[in-house]
Amino acid sequence: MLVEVGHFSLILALAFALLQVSLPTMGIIKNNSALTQLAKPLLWGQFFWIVVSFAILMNAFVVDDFSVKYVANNSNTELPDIFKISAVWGAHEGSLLLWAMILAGWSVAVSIFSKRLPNEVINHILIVLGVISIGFLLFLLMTSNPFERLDIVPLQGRELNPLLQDFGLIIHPPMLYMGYVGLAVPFAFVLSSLVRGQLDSTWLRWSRPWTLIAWAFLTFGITLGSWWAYYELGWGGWWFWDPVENASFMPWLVATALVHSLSVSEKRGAFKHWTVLLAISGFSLSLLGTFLVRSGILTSVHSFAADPARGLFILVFLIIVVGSSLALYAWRANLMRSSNTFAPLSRESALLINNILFVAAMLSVFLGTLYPLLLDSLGLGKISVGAPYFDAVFIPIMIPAVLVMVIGPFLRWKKDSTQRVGRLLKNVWIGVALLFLSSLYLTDNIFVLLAVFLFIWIVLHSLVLLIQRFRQKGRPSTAFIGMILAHIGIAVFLLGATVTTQYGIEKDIKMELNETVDIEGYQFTFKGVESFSHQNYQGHKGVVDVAYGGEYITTLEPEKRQYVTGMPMTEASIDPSLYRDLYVALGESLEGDAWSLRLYYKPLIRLIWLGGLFIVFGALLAAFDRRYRLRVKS
Amino acid sequence: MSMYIWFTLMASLSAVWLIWFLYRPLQGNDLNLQKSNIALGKQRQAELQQDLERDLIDESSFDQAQDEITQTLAIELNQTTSDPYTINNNQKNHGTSVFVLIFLLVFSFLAYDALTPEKNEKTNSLEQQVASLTLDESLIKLKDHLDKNPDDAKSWQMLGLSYFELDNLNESLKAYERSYQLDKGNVRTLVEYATTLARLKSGSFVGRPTELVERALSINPNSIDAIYLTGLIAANQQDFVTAEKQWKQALMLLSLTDPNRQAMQDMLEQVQSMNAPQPRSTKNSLMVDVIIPEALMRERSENDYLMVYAKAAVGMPMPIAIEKIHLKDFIGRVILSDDNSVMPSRLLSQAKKIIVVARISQTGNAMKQSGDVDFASDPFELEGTSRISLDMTPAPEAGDPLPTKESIQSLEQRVKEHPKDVESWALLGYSYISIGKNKAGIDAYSQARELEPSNVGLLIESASILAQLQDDQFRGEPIKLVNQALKLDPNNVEALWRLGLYQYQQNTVNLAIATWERTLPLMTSQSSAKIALMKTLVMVKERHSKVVQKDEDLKLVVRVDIDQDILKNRPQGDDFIMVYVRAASGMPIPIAIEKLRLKDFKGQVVLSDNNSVMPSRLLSQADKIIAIARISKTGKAIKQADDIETRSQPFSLKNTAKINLNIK
Repeated sequence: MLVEVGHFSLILALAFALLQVSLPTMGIIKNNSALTQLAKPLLWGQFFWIVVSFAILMNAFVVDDFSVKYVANNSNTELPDIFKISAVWGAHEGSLLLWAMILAGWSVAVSIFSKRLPNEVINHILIVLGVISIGFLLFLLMTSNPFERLDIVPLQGRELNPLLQDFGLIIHPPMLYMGYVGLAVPFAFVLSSLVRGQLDSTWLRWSRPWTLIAWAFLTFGITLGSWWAYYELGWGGWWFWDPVENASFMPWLVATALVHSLSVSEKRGAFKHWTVLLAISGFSLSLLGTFLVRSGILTSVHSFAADPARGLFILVFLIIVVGSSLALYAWRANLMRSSNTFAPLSRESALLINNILFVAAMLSVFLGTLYPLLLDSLGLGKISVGAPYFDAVFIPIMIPAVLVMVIGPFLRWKKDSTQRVGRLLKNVWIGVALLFLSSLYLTDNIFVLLAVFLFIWIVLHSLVLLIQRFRQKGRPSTAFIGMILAHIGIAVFLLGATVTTQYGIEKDIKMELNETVDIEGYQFTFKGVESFSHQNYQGHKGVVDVAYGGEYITTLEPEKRQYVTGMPMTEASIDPSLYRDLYVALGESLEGDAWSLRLYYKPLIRLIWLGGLFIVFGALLAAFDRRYRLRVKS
Repeated sequence: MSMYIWFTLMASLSAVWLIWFLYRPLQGNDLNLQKSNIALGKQRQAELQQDLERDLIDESSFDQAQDEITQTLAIELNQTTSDPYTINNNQKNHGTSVFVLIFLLVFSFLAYDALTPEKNEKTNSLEQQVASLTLDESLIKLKDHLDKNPDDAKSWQMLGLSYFELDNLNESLKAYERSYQLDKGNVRTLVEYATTLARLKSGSFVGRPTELVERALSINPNSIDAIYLTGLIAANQQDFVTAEKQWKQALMLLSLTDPNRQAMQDMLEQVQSMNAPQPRSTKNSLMVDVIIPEALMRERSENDYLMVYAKAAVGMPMPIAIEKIHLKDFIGRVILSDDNSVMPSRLLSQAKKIIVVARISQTGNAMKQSGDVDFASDPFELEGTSRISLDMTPAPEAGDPLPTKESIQSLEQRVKEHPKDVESWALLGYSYISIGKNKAGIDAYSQARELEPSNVGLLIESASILAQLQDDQFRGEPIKLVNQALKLDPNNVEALWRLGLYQYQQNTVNLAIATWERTLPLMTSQSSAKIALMKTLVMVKERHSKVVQKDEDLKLVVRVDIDQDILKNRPQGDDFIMVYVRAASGMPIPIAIEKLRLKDFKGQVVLSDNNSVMPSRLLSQADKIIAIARISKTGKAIKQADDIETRSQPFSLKNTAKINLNIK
């Protein structure tokens, strides 16, 4: 019966969402404040029932209730408890319920932490968020019910995909969803403003911290996903330009542009068109990402066509959301006219270039991701668009963006001059040149040199900016520190990504017992393989001793696992450090005692995720700047 | 019902929550857009001033920017036309309250009704019977049900079975006795009751168990279980002739595709060979060295069992010879010979090609349990082999689990290099199917099966995969594979489960129930799988019991007039009179039967659902039937040469409550 209670809770949540949209709207039309103020209690009720529903589903996993189809398909009795819990969002239905819960959670956060927003604004925003909730709750209930029962209870559940039986995958989806769904908040801000016909300072100011927090979560989720792919998949890679990865990367690019565009709109009242369109695009790309992942179209266009119910629902929802928001934009376009001008060389221009480049980068990823699907659906054959395309198109677009990124904060608003900028930054550029020239002795790899140059460029400019600010009157704001940190994060990431790609070494070899292989001065000695068993899997564990210059460093123990349902998995063993990773994956048994192993030397790879974390912290610092604690006197 | 009470409570509480806020509205802040925009405008001015001080804007641009801020503020104030936001506590909200209450109740129930699949609804009522996963709690639910419905014979029978599975034989007996008292004509109850009694008596059917089995057989002479048990009783009493006869009969009744057919065949052969036992031979003894790795020994208890057995390389996986000892007693090798043979008719020395298996098990059960570790040798000819070695270090797995594309390429390469690697073919099949290349996957699995046609696990896996491709339907090729698996291993739980599922899918619910009930004793007590199966049985029986509720009021009086000449020629005391009805068309199996000695016959019998041969096929359910009366010396179900019989014309129970038959 508990399962049915969970199902009914979801229906009550939908009822609340419907009322959340209708009653406050009636209140606004009829000027009935009693109805309007119901937006918050309705939202809180919706959130409550979704949480109840989620908790019941989680309970079904924990108690191995295989009469629930979703549980039977994604769990079994041998699964460790922690993975039973994460299995709740391990597949379609549960992840959508998580989506809906996080959306309601964001809405609750907006309702509670927007004390500086007038009630009329909050209520409008909550109505828009309610509409989105209705869409997802209907989707859940009509096409993806996680509480569907099985006619015949199976003897044993299937298995949570062993790839998902990992700590990284416990937190990666929730963090990613926090980002994805968080973009609904600036979207709601924009739409409520368009509906009200009041694109004023208020929504511009107060949407920025929410956008920053959503962007931080999205960055964190993507960073986690990359880290997980690295250590879990056993290939030493950290980004594959996979359509699922691209589906999260595209909204990130747009959200980055939005965060910057909002700063201009907020301070100067310019770029309102950009800001509105970026907010709409960001959330639309989140919905598109959901469509791509959930409809099955990425597996095969034909599998989507064979069971189109889910994909069609999201597609229709996407069309309604995007179509209606663009229609609203067109209707209210005249309200966004601005007579604020700025010169070609100005901070506004730099941020405009930033916007253009980020949108161009997003479009390049968009094209590369969707083009194969389009061709396939038209029966024009199958093509594969992978790293070569993305590297060739995306990187050249981002290089100028990175260059402009640290110049922008030095530029004046509205108008600047090349002489002033030159005078201001001359010494910095000389410093960059000198440092870069000295690095020429370290390498002759053109890509590494470019990365080193960009790293020095960003770091030096950022440090100078920081010192300059400290010298000025007043303490630098946390938003400013956040900006510096995020920009340095980009630099760190760039350096790590390039160096590891260019200088990483991979050796796929056969090793006899006690044989030693040398990679970049590290001696890997194969000591054999032993068998073991665990709760829901058994397997083999390799033992590899690592020494450097004859001195023992560590022992790596890569595993090959066979799960109870027969799915095999590789677990690589990694010796991490900030300047290099040593990575070993176990291959297969060969004649005698020999095994095949994959050995990796990965210099500076940790900088990739360290850079990501810098960006996250930078965004959070900016979100909690004191300017967002403005007191409005009554 | 209680579920809907919960729902009503949830919806009502939700309504109360909202109505509360209607009459006690939240106190909002007293901000409005104008104030907000003004404050923000001032802040922007202040920030602009800071920018000027930091040389982030020049003077002329500063003035322009200031103007822009002022202009923007003016536009925003113009746009803001609403009055300051205030909560009007005097608004009458009674209508809204009523609307909210009605909407929440009506919408939620309507939506639930529309969105919930039918099976969920039916499951709801069953949840009240078996609401939790533990067997103990299921028992409590059954007992609760029986407290309220003490005359539910079926539930008593289920309780008996549940206790039986928990090895609580005394309670099982009590439950079966109750069931029996309520329904003495239930063949299933009689058979299970007899089995439980025998189990208590260490497998002896002497006394009451035999009576129960005989009663079951008399009620339904075609009950395969009853016939089987009769044969078993005879075999226990060394009456192999009768055993052979009974099992031959059972075999005749089993359909050609019945998965138990092979098992019955084997038992028959064993019994037939019992009559000519083979001389034991001391030749062909086999020394088996078993190497147990240190790591494995450390993980196990010294009281765990080590079982070393030989089985035929092809065919039934039943052990031919077995040695079972505790690990602590193991000295590194065991000897298998005819002295270890499991059955006297199947000696190790007679085997040709065998496989030797070493298994470490905590329970020592014949069926492999979770946690058991085993290792099997390759098939080899016993002739000429006196010693083999089994190394229980787990073999390395084939294939390198890479992400799908690469792993498929790797597997494809592997099967090219090792075309007889069954595991790689199976893995390849699985990988193909996981990426949607179904045909290639099916072909790969076929290839694997061709290499190892008697691999039961592979057959079951193939069947499952194929069924998944057909929306989990087992019709066609999947069930063929399941049947093949059952031929090789008739007691394979996984295969039996799938057979039951197929039968259920084919709407032959009774067969499904029978198959699953047969599976239950083979499963480990209190395993979650067993609990799940019991729950399934409860659900299925509940769902289908509605069509097989007994109609206590329906009775058919069959009056039988027997010619005096016939009676004179028959010693009345010994002959039987059997009065039964069967369907007018279709299978000639009796639906309801009454069998008496002629001396006890009073001229008529009354048939009702209580005389029904099968609980799922009641007299009250029958449409057009024929009534038959037979005088028989033997009382056997199959008409004998000297039996005298008469039958009625087809008639319907709806119109007929009494019928006359005349034996002359």
